[in-house]
Amino acid sequence: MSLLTTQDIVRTYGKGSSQFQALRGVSLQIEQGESVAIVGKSGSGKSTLMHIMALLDQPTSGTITLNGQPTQNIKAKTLNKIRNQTFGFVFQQFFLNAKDSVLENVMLPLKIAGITGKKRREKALAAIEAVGLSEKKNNRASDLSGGQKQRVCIARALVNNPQIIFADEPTGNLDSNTSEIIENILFDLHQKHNITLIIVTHDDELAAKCQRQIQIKDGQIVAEKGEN
Amino acid sequence: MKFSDILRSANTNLWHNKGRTILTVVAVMIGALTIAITLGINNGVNDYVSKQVANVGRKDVMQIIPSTGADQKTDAPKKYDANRGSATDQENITPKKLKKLKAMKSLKNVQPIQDSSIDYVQGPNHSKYIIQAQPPTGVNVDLKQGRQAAKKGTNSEIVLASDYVKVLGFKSAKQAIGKTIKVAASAQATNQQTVVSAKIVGVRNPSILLAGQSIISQGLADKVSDINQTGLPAKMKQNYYGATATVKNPTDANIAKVKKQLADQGYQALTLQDTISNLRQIVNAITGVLIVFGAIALLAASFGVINTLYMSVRDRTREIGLMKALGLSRGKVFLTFSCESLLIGLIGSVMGILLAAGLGKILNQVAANSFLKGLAGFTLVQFTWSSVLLIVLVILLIAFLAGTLPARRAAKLDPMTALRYE
Repeated sequence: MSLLTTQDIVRTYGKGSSQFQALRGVSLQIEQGESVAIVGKSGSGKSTLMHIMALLDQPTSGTITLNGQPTQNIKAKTLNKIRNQTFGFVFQQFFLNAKDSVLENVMLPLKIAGITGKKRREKALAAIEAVGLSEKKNNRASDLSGGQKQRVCIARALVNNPQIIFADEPTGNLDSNTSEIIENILFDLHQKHNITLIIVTHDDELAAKCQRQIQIKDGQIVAEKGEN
Repeated sequence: MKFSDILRSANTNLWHNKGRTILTVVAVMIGALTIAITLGINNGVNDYVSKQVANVGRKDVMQIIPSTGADQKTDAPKKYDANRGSATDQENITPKKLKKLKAMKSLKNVQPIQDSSIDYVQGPNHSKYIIQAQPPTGVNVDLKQGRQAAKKGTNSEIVLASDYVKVLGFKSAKQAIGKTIKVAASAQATNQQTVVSAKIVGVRNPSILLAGQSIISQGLADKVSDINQTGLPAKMKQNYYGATATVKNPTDANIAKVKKQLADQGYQALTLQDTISNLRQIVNAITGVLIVFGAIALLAASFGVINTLYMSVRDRTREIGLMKALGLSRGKVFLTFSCESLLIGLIGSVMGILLAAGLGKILNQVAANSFLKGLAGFTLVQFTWSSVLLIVLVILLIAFLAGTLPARRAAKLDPMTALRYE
């Protein structure tokens, strides 16, 4: 059973003459523990695809199944829980709360999950340690370098022990040295914890490090490389 | 997300932009202050009036006096009426009329009010002072010391107006209680003066009601009246300037009905409520206007709350989007922003009330030393827990309602749009 499958996903924005098809029938399967790169130029629809797979957006038509379950009829409450506990998110622009400490930022998903007290703190500290930022745990997020910020993001994505981490251009804002550190952390987690990685990127080097590369152009899969 | 976390994050967010928050809180505070002070004054005045009247159970007593012809609108000559001479203002209640009053089914305990006129009172220092005194019917006065004068029986008792304590030669109100003073009255017919003694049973607080009046017991009033009427022809003895009566089943509707009946018969009937209702009306009118001002201030403040939160939502679009992407429900997002508006309301109203309490203290001090001087027991601004609680609750409600608009916008925010950066 595949972890995540999409079947003929179509996503249309707008109405009438201004209608625009971002995805025109995308079908793919992702297995548990895989690392998958979704590659394409900006405007190709790769981000839209990621949003739909991460259940942040609904396709205009087509179905998504997660762990064998179709997702279109899942209630909002369950959907929130899935996003909170099954998924982790890493964004190009980090989206950290600048005025909060590293620890506070990493604790955010746990707070949302309603976990409190010691348990919350311990889990967050473990995630911070996993990205090697223990010394900076009380620093304000705004005082960190770009690479450190992205490590905080990864810790935040990691803190709920997710099945899948969605990374949207995780190294897009970083120089090549820092990019490498981030990439190493991500693939390390992928291997050690068997976390499924779905990385959206236009960086071929990063894509090459994934087990599979899916090329998107004009809302359609144009090429697929790697084992399946 | 646990409620404690929501509350904490609402509080943190609120103080991320101190200037904006403080200004909004000040706006709410001004509204709360105005309303609190106004309600405080209303409480203070009405509480004082009620204390003066102490009219528990005396709502049913009315004073009935013949109408003085004030309803004569024209100066045109009027036809002669056997019961009403040309000197209309000197009209009395005759025994015949009294009988008719007593026969009214809606009234009981109809008692004539004697014309009891005291010449002077004399205390231990032998100085003589004229005094204004009235029988105790239907009146319980606010006492500084002692008890009310007896409403029945033959005991000669007096409740002194507070100014008389010192001039009659007593050191204090406390010392005066139980002492005997001389009361002199004279016969209208012969001018012969008789002195009787009366026991001081109470001393009044200074008051705006029946100001300067002393109260004599029914027994003393009877004695004085007897002295006054010594030697008068029998027919004149039994003319009274008015009567008191108790209304049976004294609902407001019944009292109004009785008043109308009496008015038809040419009487004017006043309950104690009536005598003070004018005062209350004025107080309520003034405080009503002030409360409207307070409400306008609060309305303006609620727009401040709306504006503050809209800005907050805009500033934190990404944060909200992120939290929603990470699985925070719409309801909780709404709650976070509602908590912020509630906090603004809570802080503003509590500060406004504290400020009002401080200001009230100063006002009370100023009032007690100036225009309320001598009126013991008159606290101009008075706060009751119920009114304070009411103000806080109303302001919280207003703040919550104001907050719903921005909170709804935040709750409806699409995480994808919020997180888009291409």
